[in-house]
Amino acid sequence: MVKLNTVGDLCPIPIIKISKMIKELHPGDRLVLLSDDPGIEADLPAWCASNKHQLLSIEKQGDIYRCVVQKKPDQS
Amino acid sequence: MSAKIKAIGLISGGLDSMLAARLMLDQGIDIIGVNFNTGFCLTDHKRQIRKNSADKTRLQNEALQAGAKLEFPVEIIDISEEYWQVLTKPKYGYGKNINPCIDCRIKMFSRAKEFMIENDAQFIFTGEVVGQRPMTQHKQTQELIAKKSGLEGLLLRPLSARNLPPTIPELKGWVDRDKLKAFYGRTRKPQINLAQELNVIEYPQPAGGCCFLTDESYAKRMRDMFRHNMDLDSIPRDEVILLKVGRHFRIGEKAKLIVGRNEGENNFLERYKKGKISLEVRDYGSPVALADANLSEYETMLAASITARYSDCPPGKEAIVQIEKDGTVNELDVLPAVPEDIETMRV
Ligand code: SF4
Repeated sequence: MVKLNTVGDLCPIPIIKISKMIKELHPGDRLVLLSDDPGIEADLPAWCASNKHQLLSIEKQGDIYRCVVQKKPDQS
Repeated sequence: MSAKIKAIGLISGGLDSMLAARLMLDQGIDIIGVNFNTGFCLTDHKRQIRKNSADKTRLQNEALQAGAKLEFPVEIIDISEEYWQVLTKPKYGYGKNINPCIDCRIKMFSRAKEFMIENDAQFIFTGEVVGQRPMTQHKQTQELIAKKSGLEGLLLRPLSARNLPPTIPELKGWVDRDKLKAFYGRTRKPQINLAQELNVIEYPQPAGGCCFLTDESYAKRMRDMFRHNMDLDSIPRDEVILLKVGRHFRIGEKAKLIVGRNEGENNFLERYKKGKISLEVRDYGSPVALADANLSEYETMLAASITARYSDCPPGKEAIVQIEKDGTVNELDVLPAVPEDIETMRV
């Protein structure tokens, strides 16, 4: 699974980075995003919903959020 | 069957851009929203400062929320690097403060046009209302912005379209002009009525100003920075970010001190300690203060004394200030500064 570490980045940079990276993946691929920005709790579900990707999980481990996203099936 | 018409919408996430998006969706247009990160967004900064807020809605990006609610994709485009040129050398000047709104809009629309081409879209739309804002939403200014960004005829303002000459999307029949609106001016009533009519229920309240560049005290600090730097392109971006937080004091021709005003700002300043001198008062509640690395002895005393002034150390009582540089901590005994003595240094 591809890992994207955005710890230290403040919003909206984590979303800009994941958006760029997901374009490189194949439909259905999964990606792990790490972030220490609490804004990710609101932004990532909204970004996934608006772009039709699937948010599989968001877990907070200490100060770090570990989020798993699955790319939508038909995005090129 | 002909391919679906596609449009790119500039989405702030406020009510106007949501309504414009909804009008396009209702006409069967395929839309992609774009939102630009200039690095000067007031809301983003508030979110960064209130990092530990329990209320998640205070930490959300409204453009993404709008996309999720109305079910269209939103892309955040980072223009923060190239934006520096727009800010320091605006061709059309500044607004009331240090906001280069016309150049800023030209930059955003030019980038949106590139995005439109990359995504095989046919036109751009925005939630702008003619006559609503002083600088960018007058008819002539809107025409200038469309022309300079190469979008003449391709820029549709669904909320004011019937007050404006028909655009290519209307002339070609991609959108039905009769279903667009003729809103004008500062009143919000037509938008609120339309929101009810279209069942757009959840939208953010206007936050009063979308970016730091329209803020009077931020503009004052930025101008002070411009005055004290010969080469604007060599100013580190961290210095620009730091203009957003704390109380600022010019303590020397090349030296500045920033004192945090609350826990959020203190935490924010902590992130920028590297390469700077940080000051904190020992034994009392203390703000975090940051100063440039190369202070003279006098400037160091002054920085310590100002930091002590904003600590819980009583006036007239000596404070021990811890001064950290490159991991080494020294202590300095000072009297807290007297407010009248430092007021002239305030930026
Ligand atoms: S207020 Fe700020 S973001 Fe908005 S147009 Fe002006 S400079 Fe650009």
